[in-house]
Amino acid sequence: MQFTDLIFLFVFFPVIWLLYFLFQKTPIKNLFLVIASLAFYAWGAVYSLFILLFVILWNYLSIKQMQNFRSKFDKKMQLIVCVAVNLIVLLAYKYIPVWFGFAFKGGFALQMPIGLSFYMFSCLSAVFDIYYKKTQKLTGLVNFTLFAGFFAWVNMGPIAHYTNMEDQLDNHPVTIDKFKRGGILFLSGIIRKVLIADNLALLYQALSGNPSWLGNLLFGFAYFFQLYFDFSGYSRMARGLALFFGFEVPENFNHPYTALSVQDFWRRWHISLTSWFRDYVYIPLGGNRVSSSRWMLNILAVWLLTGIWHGASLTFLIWGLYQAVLILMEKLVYGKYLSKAPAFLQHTYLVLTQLIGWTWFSSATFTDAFTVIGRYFGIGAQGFADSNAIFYLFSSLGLLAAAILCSTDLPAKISAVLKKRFTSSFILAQTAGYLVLFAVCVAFLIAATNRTFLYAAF
Amino acid sequence: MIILSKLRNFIEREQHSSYECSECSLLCHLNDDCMNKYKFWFYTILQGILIICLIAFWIPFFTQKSMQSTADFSAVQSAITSAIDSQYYPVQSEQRARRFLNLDPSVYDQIYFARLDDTMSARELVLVEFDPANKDSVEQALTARKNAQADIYEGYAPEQADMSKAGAVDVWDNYALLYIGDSPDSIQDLFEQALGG
Repeated sequence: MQFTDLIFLFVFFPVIWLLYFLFQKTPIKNLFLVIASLAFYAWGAVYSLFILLFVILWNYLSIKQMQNFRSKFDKKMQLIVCVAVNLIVLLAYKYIPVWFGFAFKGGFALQMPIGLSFYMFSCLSAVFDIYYKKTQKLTGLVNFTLFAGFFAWVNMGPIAHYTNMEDQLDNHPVTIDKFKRGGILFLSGIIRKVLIADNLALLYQALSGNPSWLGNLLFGFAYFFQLYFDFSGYSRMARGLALFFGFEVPENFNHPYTALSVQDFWRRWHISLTSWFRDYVYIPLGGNRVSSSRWMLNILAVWLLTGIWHGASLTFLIWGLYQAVLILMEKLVYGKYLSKAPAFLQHTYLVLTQLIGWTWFSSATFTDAFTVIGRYFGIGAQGFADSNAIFYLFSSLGLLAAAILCSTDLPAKISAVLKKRFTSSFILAQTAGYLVLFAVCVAFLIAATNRTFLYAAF
Repeated sequence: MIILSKLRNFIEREQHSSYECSECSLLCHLNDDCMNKYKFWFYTILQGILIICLIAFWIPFFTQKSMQSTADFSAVQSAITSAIDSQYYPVQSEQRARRFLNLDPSVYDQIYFARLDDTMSARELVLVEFDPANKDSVEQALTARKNAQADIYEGYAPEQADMSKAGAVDVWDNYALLYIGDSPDSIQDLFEQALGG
């Protein structure tokens, strides 16, 4: 089940939310949410439930065992075994079919359970937090299952960090303020996904293989914005849903396309994943408190792992290394000049580098990536524009303008000013606006034109 | 040898740096009193059971045959079209495939769609070759088409509705068939033979 399924929007979520208020005590509420989350996860793919339960139980038992040990050596051995088993599961589903699928004569029949990389990383954050003694609290299996498998974040994150969530697991009251914020986040998320991302997907599909410079550029930017609105839309919906049940989840995107450098961009994009790698890989490797050559290796290692986390193909690996090289170049070569350049130049640099990055990310093969990237610079492009490109440019002007506008914090600033000036009528207009747009989204969903979330593949 | 020696050094170093327990010091990790040994065995046994369950869960997946075929699309198509009466199954355009089946031809590797223009006939044949990632959407589209046809004919052409209901939908990892017409089982067998070959 996904958040844009009608059965989720009009049956599962409302029923679970109303039933939730029948229970008074937090442990019972948590147990109810665990049962609901397992049903949500098992919907349509019961076999995936086994892997979810395995990962949760394995990591929970590993933590208990680690807490039982007194010696550092035993704890470290338990940590190694725990991480190794997690990696074996991840390899079996995500990497072996791609890297070694040819070795299996009858084919490789394991199907990747949705969200495996997300909930496994959430579980591992708890394992590392206990190992590094950031916390010693592990309140119980029900709470741990909720932490890793709550339906708001089990499919596509945000990846939960245990120390951020442990207190909330014991106490997560639903307040009017959380309800309001949750509603706005959820509605803005679904609007981003259905009205912007899914329509950009049509543009991306229509211009696939367009040989003209303009058509190729529009194709690249269609994916550039689609990925952002698809995943940030999902993240908003997830955070909104969590707020409906009292959980405060940190934001996963902070207007990344307004960043002025690649380093800044990665502080704003998929924050839960980048902070996971920072806290559990980069810092344990020594971070930047090591020799410069070791630090460079640390950066390369983190970005290589980030690339591999997204997928097993070589294009993801190249994408990860590309980001590492950009960050190193900014730190060591041109960062100081870049920071003194006019803002529009810094922004152009960011957009261009990430446009090329997402082209690597979205391409199936090296040839595809090089063909599209070459055409951005006129290499291999057949003319400036063809009729198809011009048609889609004019028919998508409104969509592209909306995508650019919503990538900035301008809508939030405008709404803050309006809210200050016309408090009561603004709230009324905002509510009406969201409801109208939600109705439009539902119309799109009923017409079955919505698409699966892009990050569901990871 | 160097690796083994480094490993031994590492283990020894780790052992001698593991003085956390106040009850004992030097051989902390070897002393049963340092940890609750009942808990240790309890968790170890549970972890072992989990690993066994995982292996048992995986065995059928590793041993079952893949549903992905390397057969050529035109060979599969001719194997099926040679067994049906072509006058009932004229080929339709890609636009019609998009319109009737809700399948975008640009997304899939190959689509063969054949049916009469006669709205009183439910007979149709759809063959699709696709990327395994699109399996679910193809399966949904073909199943929805079959059910929709059965519903449409239910009211005024019951024999066509029965034919639609009895139609074959067979979805492999990269090939799919929808056949509504006479002897759906034998056409499905032909399809599977063609893919297997």
